[in-house]
Amino acid sequence: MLPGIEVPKERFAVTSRLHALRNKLTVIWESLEAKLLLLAGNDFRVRRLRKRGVRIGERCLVYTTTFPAEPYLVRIGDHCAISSGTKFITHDASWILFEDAHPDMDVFGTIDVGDNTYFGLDVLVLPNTRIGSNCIIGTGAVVRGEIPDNSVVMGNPGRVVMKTSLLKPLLLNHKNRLDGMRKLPGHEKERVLRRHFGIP
Amino acid sequence: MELRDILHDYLVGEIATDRESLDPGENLLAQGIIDSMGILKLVSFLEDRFQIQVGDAEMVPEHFESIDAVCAFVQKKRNG
Repeated sequence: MLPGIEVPKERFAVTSRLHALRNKLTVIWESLEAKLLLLAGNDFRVRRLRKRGVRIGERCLVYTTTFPAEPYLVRIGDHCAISSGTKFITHDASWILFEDAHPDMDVFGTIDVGDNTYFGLDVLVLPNTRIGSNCIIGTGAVVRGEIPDNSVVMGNPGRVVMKTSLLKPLLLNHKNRLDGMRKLPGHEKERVLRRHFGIP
Repeated sequence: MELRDILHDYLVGEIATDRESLDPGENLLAQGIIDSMGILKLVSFLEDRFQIQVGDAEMVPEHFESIDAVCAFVQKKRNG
């Protein structure tokens, strides 16, 4: 309560309850919307996420809707791709252990992602993380802290395993590189893949 | 056993298992002989076998593009 402003106790209790109810309804709506947005197209999804406060750059592909209750603490640069299942967390709820002594405590952190960075499936990005540009975050990685530009990150805890410049020739010359597959209809893609991998 | 032979035997035995031999100058990256997991296995082997530490900034193509390149890198690391 602001110093010098007196609010009758009963009115304060009603206001608090209304505030709590509004927060609860917001959470319910946002979790419902998050599920529905997964069915929507990328452009629509990105627009809605921006409206919720996530700062998303241009030409991004975002296949997750799991952003925190503080979406404005997340910034994603231009031309990033974020695979499904990836989660961004901007608060630390472990304060609950100390709630008795510090009932109003809360801990937050920001997440900042540079340009041209790719997140594999099910990456977890923790608070206080800055991921540079031209990075690849491998599937299932748990990332926290500073990740320099041009890094490939894998594992839990996520660590830089190589520079993007090293991964590039590995991908370009990969024995299972098959170009043009995204343009093929499903049955044609299946035919090509079966033949390539020798599956009858 | 020479460093080049140790690397050759490791690569043929553990990574490029479909090859019987590799030329020391053969491009491991451009020929698709090694993949990203293969690079990580190789680095782990180098660190254990030669007691060196490979930093993030050293994980670049120049150090892994051939057996000769890996040899030169390991020698440089061992000489401090």
